[in-house]
Amino acid sequence: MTTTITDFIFPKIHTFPPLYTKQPNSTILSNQLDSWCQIILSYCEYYRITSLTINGIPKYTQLETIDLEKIPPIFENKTINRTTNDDFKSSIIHHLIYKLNKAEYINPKKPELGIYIYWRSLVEWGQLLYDYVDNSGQLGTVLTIYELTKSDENGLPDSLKNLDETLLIKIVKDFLIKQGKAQILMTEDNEIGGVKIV
Amino acid sequence: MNYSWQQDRDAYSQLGRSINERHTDQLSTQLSVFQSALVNFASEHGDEIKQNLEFRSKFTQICNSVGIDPLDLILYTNSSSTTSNKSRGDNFYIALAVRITEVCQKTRDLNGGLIALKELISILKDSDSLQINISQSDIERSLIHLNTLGKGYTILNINDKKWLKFTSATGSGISNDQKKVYELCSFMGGFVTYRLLRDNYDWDKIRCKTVVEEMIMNGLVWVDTQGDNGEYQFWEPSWISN
Amino acid sequence: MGQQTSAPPKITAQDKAIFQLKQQRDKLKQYQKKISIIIDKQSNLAKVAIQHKQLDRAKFYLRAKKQQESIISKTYNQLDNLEGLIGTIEFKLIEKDVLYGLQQGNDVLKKLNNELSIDKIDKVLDDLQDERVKVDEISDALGMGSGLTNQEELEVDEEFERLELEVNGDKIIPETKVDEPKVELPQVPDNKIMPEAPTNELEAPEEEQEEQVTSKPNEPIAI
Repeated sequence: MTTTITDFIFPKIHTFPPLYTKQPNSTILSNQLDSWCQIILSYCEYYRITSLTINGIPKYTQLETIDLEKIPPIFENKTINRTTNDDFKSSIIHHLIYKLNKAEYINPKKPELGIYIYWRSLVEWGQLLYDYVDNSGQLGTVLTIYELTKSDENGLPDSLKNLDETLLIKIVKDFLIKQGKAQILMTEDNEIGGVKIV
Repeated sequence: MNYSWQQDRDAYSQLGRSINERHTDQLSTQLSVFQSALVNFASEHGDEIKQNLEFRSKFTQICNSVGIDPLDLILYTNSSSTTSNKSRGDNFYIALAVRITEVCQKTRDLNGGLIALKELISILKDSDSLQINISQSDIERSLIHLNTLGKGYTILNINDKKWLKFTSATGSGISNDQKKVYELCSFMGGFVTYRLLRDNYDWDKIRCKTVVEEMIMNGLVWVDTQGDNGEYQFWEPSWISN
Repeated sequence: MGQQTSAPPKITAQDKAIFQLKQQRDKLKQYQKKISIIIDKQSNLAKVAIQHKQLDRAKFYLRAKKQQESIISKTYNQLDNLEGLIGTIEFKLIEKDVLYGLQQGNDVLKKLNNELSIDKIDKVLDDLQDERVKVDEISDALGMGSGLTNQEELEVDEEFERLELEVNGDKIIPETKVDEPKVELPQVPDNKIMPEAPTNELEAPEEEQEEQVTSKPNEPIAI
């Protein structure tokens, strides 16, 4: 399958060569970090990317029709021949996680596993999921993670379709269970395999 | 049984949500109607607002409570009540001056206090909810008012383009050398290097370094370490908005 | 009951059963996906083989493909069974809920009926009668009877009718507003000073009025 959507159009600042160098002036730097985070968020939202590696390489997208290796990279601009170095990348990701709260380590104990990108917050995701289950009359029914992500028979809305399973579980755990609206079911292999939302 | 109770509660909360939404909708329409009524009122009774002190303070209160900046109103009423640009009152230029300082403060972190007049005008037009025509000469006239308060704002000519330099309390004015750096930037399509400075102005190494480093610290230029042949490039930030 | 919002929902044995069935179903679906990808590949390979005139090979691929297809149709049957089972269980669960609800309703109804038993009602009515008798007895005993004699009752009725006539005869219904119209009414005619005008023209309007009156009864007939 080939890419069915056009390439993301980066904002003009993405072709501003000094953007790829960490600025020494601290007020300018914080502006620069904001700009970078804005680029990352709109880029990920455009491609429906929900997680990145710590080097800013897309890890998971909801869109099955795009090839993550073929979309333009975030931290590199070939037309002006500039790339962001690893040190600066980690500052940007740090800013995204701790200043803007728009990202989180997939596993805080193993940051090298990458980060979730929250162009949609966990709460918004949870609400979306709850609304779907509610509107489809499935409150109180046991649903498998598989049918909540992969199935194409039960009217799953596009916004939820093919969501990263680990992210789905995180949404359920961090939002719905805390609200007392859900309970999880384990498989024989002791993995989370299903959820009951009430 | 618990289930039906839960359903009831959900139904109620949904009802509550939709009522809330409707209220917000209604309120926002009312608000915008009221805002436009206020604008009309201000343009009709502009003189009275100007003269009657108590009336004016009441009016400002109303403006604040519905989210209209009285400054916008002053700008608007004074720009439209008189048809020809020449007779725009002092009030207009004073209000405009306030706006200019606001924009300069806001963008200082990005451009170090040096802003192209063209950019300034487009921001001024952008930020106003009310359409006001502002020209370069309007800005220049406003600056006359501003500079009676102290010479913080100067208009510079760099390569036939007008720039507004805004000096913060800490920084000093823009030096001749810094101006030259900007001149070269606009020749080179946005950036300079030490070598370019040396070649064009015959400055020695130390002079280049001091000027550029000061400009970096003031936020007047951004550093790019990935230029051709590993040469550092120094970019003027207004490039982004051009 | 009202404070259970923060407690997570419980997973029942039925939930677990359904969950297991659904997991099986998901596995089947995944398997189907895998097989259909293999089928696609094999038909492509067969095509290529034919293009290269490798007929035996093409046949081999087609045979393999056939086999996969039969597997898929089998899995569909199994899937059907599973889905059916899940559906049945879910429906039974709802039936159970309905039954429970019916039972509850029934119990309540029974309880209410018990409280409304005919014996009880009779007893209450009897008691009431007894009490009334007692009251009468006491009044009689005290010699001042709760009721008046028949003659006295008649007199009361008569007085009531007289009063009613008096009041309604004047056709003034609300008592509080009695005064206001009385004050205003006489004043209105005093102000209109038109005593001279009528003398000449009085006859004409009266005739007109008579005509109107006579014409009116005709109208309904015409209609």
